[in-house]
Amino acid sequence: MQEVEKISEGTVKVGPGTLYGVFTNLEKEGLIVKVKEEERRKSYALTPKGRAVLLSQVERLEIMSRNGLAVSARLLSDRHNVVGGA
Amino acid sequence: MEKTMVRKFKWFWPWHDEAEEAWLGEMSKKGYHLSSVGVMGIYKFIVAEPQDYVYRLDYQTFPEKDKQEYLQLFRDAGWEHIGEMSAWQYFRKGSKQREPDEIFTDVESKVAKYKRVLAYLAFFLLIEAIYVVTFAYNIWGDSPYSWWGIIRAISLLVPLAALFLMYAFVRLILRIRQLRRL
Repeated sequence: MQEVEKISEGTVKVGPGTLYGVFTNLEKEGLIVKVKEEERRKSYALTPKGRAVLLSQVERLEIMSRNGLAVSARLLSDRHNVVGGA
Repeated sequence: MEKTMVRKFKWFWPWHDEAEEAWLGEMSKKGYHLSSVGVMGIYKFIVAEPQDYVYRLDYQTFPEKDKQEYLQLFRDAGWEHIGEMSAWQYFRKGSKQREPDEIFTDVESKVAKYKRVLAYLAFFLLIEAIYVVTFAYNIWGDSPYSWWGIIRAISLLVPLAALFLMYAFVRLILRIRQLRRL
């Protein structure tokens, strides 16, 4: 949970109640599998199906982010033009 | 010094759980800190210095082994488990801590909590339905014994319980719709 907050630079927070449900759902969907269990803490690994889903999601987000960056670049240059014209 | 304990009976509708959380926080601000929860909605408070505490409730039933893992997850996030009252799990955290003060951080997991309560109510509604189909006819048919009247009187409670369950059902569904609209 702390790690999620850190690598997302504070933009994503996951509470324990939510995380518990996420583990249960991902395991039920066959995307992750339990690999280790010690001191009441479970470790999970991606299944081949989980890996495929992850990669396709990353690809989807990359396309979205590319489009978003293109739009924001255009917006920024438009603003410059307006400022320059005035 | 002997710690002073105060007992208080409290009951709440499952869709008012957030109000219950807020109320427990208010109690701590007055110096009454929840120390355990009993079976029938009996809260025990320790009387001490007022504190800023955040209380959160989850609704979960599970086997003991899964419960330990579940509680560990909450402990790792800085939540103290105070107790359990008919599947309601009570958690507390000092509100000055840096970590998020929410146990649920998205709408779907909040909805899932109310769905677990719904599943529990559905179980009782099913029992009611079985009662109506199998027993009601026999109870209200010819009365073979003189004490049959008592059975009939008790059986009148069944439709009352059904109404109560259906009311709770509808309110929970409305709560879920409200959450999804936010």
